[in-house]
Amino acid sequence: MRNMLFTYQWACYCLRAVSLVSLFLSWGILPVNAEVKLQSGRLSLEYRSGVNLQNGDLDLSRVTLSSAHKFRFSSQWSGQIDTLSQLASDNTGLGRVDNFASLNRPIFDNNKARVELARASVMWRKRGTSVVIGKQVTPWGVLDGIQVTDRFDPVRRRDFVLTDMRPERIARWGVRWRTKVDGWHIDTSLALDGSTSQQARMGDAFFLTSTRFTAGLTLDDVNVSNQAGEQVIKNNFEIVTPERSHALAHSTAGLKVAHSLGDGDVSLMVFRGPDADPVLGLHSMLKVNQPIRVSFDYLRRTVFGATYDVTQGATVWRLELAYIPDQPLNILASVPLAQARGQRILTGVGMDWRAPNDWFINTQLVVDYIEKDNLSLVRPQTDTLLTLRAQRSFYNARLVFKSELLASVNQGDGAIRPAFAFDWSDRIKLQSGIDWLFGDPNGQFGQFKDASRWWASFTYTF
Amino acid sequence: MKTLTTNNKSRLVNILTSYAPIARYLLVIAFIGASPAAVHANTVLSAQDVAINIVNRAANEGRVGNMHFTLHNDTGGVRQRSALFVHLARQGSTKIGIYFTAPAALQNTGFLSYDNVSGSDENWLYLPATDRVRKLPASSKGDYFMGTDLTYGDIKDNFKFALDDWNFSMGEALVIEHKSYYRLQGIAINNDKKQELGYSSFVALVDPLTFFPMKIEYSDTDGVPLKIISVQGLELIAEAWIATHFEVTNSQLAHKTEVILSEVQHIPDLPEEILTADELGYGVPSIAGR
Repeated sequence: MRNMLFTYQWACYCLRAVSLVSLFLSWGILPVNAEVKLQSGRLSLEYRSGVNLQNGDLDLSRVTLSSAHKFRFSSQWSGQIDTLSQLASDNTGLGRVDNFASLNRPIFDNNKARVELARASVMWRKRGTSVVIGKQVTPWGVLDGIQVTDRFDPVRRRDFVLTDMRPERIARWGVRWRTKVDGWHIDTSLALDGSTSQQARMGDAFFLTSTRFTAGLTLDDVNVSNQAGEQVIKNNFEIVTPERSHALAHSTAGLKVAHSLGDGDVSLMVFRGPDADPVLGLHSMLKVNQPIRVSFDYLRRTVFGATYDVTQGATVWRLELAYIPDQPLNILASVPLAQARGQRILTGVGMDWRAPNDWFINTQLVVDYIEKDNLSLVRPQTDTLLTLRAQRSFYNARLVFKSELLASVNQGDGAIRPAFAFDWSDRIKLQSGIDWLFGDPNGQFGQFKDASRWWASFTYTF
Repeated sequence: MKTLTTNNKSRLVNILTSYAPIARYLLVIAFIGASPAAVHANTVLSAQDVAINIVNRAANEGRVGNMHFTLHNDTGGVRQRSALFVHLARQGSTKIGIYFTAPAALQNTGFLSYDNVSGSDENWLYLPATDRVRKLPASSKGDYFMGTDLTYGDIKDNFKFALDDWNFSMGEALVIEHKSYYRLQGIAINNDKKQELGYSSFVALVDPLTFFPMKIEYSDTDGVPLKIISVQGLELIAEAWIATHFEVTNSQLAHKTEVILSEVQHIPDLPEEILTADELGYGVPSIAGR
């Protein structure tokens, strides 16, 4: 078995090598007359800062240089390379990467700077069939930024959910094959990469402290105050993440089929892989005057999903349903950080409405239910999430105003995010807004009420 | 107006002398004074006849080309957009794909629109940052397209006035530099249509040779002058007249959009599969023959 895993890991290393070599040297392995052509290229430099509304501290100060390049090698072959380079000097930080598979780790990384290969893939395509090999994403689902069936990819949550685009997907190494047969769209994906969702580092502004995310463990349990510095927390609390690798046990494999239905489109999917969010466990016995050692375990589960979206004039309706029969859970039991499995059902409905006077309204409601049997959950049995976004553009779409409400209806907490974006020119974009969080300090939004902020960004794209 | 007429006249002659046989035929007719109904605006044609001739103007079933928008605002600021467009009109339905190639911030953004002859219209948008093709609410014809001064209706209608949308009337023919133009007027048939189109009325100067409106003045839903579309370049592409250079001036916002089409090609067997939501996610399509 050990040899098999070893061989398998080497196969994955080879896959990555082949992807990269193919990308750079495709003209060598592709048809002799292939001509490498830069199809599109973009560089974007952004500075974003945020000031804490409560204490005036600079909570966010981050420079991001991102690049996206697409190449065409022939009529059937193409490639893509995206990079993400960041510098941060703030309380928000760049996020944990210890739960990334070794081959998915940043090329360069320290506390203040990080360079990542965001995408790297080659694609072969003929008529309705395509095969993509390399570092890529599998964006399934039809709702916006709220994850019901869209659970194939890990996502970045170092800024919680307070980002421009939601979710911010993390690409993984793998293979994706898509084809069309008699009106059916078949999409299969295999991610040979155990990377999971990125969270904030301990002590950072958006480090999770709500007991629903800490398996019931409170800050008092680890003997630190709510605003304790990183070192104080580290002295009392240690996270151990088992190595994420390219082993079969860490891979995610899925199949989606889609077809038109009436005026809309329906899709059915199934995928199995590690849950992108961890369940917590005690890594070693509790000892007096020793930090609590907690392991973040990413256990495999199966997701069955269905989506439907349909246009009805000025309205688009989106529906999603997910069933996870073996959802890993943390429960409250006689031993701390106990784990169990239960059935989880998520249903979501969303609506886009092109309202009068150029307003655009998007609203979504998701009910997330866990069949608990006799388990004592660390989160409510039923969570109800609501998102509401209103948006309008002015001056020939140079100025866009948007306002967003994200809320947990059952817990009464949430975030309100008014913002504007102004296209100063084709290259320069200015944005500013407020992320105001409210609710119980132990709620999923309320835990960050002290991190409410005013933010601004300047982006130069060329 | 003088500039417009002069430009068009010389450009039309150039086009007619250098393009397809049908154009040469029309040129000969014009010179020998045979005066078929289509040649001189002083020929008696009813407003409905002119509108029907405009609607029946030959169209390419499949058309591909590059689109360049230059947007001028009231403070002198200029923004530019370039895109590949793919246009397919088949069995009464129109499908349009627009794939942005510039500026860099918009690169690989794709927009797809189905104007279905039956059932509701459909739109999709692909934003590279989201990695996903998103279904959008059907656009009203009166909505403005991507920050330009063109409405979705302007883009879809291709300089034609749907017969069911307007009550037509004829104004006095206008003679500009010895050439007369039909003056076609239209009033939206009812209030709902007015709201849908974003216009209450129009006045168009129609070239009697091509039945192409060379200048259109639209009024908004309150009857206030809204914008002027001036065609500055026409090309005959596979027997269909295409406006390859035109300006849209919004007098209320003091904003102007200049549109230039280049490398426009008629592709009769354009595969319909190119214009599907799935394809949008693959970015700018590779089209055989280009």
